[in-house]
Amino acid sequence: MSKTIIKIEGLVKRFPMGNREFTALDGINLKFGQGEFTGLIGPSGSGKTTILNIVGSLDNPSEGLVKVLGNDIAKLTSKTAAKLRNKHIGFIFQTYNLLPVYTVYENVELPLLLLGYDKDTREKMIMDALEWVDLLDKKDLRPATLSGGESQRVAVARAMVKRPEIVLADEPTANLDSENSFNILEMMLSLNKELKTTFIFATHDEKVMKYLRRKIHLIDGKVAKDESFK
Amino acid sequence: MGAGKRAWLNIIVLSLVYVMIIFMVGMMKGVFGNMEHETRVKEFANGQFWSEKYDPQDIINIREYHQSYEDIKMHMRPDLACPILITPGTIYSDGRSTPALLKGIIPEQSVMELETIHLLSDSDFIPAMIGKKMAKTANLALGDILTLQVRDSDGVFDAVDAEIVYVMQHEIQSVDAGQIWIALDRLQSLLNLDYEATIITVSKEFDQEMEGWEFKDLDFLLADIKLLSFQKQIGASVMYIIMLSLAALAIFDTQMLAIFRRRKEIGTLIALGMRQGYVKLLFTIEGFYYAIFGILLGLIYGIPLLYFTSTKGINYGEFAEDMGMNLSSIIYPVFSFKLILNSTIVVALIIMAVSYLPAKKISKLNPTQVLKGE
Repeated sequence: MSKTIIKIEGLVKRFPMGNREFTALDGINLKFGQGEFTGLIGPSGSGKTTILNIVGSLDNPSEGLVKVLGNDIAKLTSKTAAKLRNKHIGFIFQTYNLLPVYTVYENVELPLLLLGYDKDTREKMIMDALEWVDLLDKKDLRPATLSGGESQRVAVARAMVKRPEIVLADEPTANLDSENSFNILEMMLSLNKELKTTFIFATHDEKVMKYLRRKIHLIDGKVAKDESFK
Repeated sequence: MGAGKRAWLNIIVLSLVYVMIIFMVGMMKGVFGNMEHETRVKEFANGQFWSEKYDPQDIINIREYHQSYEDIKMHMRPDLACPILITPGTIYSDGRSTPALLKGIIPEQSVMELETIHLLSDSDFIPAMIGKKMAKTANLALGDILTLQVRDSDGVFDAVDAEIVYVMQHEIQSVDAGQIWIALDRLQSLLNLDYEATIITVSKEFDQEMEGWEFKDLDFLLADIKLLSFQKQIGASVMYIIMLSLAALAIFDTQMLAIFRRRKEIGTLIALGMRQGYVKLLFTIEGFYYAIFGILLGLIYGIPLLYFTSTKGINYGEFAEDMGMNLSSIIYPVFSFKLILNSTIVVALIIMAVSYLPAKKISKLNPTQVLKGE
């Protein structure tokens, strides 16, 4: 197995629900190696997104240990968590979450601005990222003028532009048709191979599953099956 | 209402508040500056020497408060020191009697900017002058003949006829209301009080010691005006605070709405790695733009408006008379650079503070709550 970059041990996540608590994750133990192309699979409410949020340092575990690139998520301050996300983790959302007032170029530029790269470096990295997703000709457009597939490609470029070790994709193809889903997944797979980026998907989309090299089935916050494919 | 329209409405309201605050503070400075100036040049000059027992509030016994300046009469030059004798009396005119303070003054004096030279006018009677408020309340006019009744130093009532030879047209109530001015020697003669005066008003050039007379400087003499000015400023400050609070509240409300509307955008930025502090800074700066644009807009129309009012003045007219204060009818507001700078800083700081509060709240947003779904 390749080098472990994410380690999850005894992860429990509870959410308050009125006067009671809802257990979203119940004793999860997982390891993710570098360059994986893995999916968290399960129905709604099975805990897929919750795992992504915790691994992405957007949320904290209630119990257990989650280590990402050697960082204990529970011990991160908001500042160090932001730094971890900024440097090492890219996010792709179901609804793209592009900033409508900015152009394609500016949306892709945002993570680099936060990292403090100079203008020339930013420009080169952005052009590379837009080339990967084949959107160089749309760089000056605003998100409102793009199709769903194009918007998601911009989101992929934004996640990949800083060349993170980990990309967390939450239902990335849920709003796309078959052709666009195919294009996006092919592109992510090639980036995974080319840049050795670890991709973790939360999905229940059959189209995605065909591409996964590892499928982790979740049911009611527990790992039901963890299967790997060559 | 759209966010853009709302933002511009806030900017316009803020600019109005900004200009209003500067205008009102400048106006107040103008009013009280004018009051001080007018009172000084027409009543106090550079200060007064008071007779030992003189109390300007004690009108009933004021006729007792005089003393001799015979030993120092050589210093009583019309351009340096002006003795004034004050006594209560009664005016009889057109079948009406009106109590009044009779003031004897040297007609040739130039210590105060009073047109006392008219007291040298040719008349078969004692030349007298009054202010326009006195003319109104006592129903007197230029050329009217009236009878003045006074009690002399022996307590004997005496009466003489006088002619109104001049009616002062300024609004200085403290040398006008209830007062009638005649030549000092005439009043001294009426009262059998040669070389006696109640007060001696002096010019800046007067530098003599006056034994037995108590000197009151301008700080003392203008203390009431300064106190009134201070009290009015406190009262006005409450109004500025209310006006500024309303503008700040509108901006706070807009910022809260904007932040609520942009939660997903902020959640995305946090997910991309933006730090809490940067989110706070970003939205505080955004709110600060309101202050910048409000102030700039205010300056664009405010500078010509303030310049016009400060050079042309504002005509208070009859209103100044009714206010019962020593004001000239035209007031020139005073807009100093310091006033504009201070107002700008106060407005900018308050708007920054109200922008910071929503920014602080949103920086603690949990992005997982907003990133999923439409």
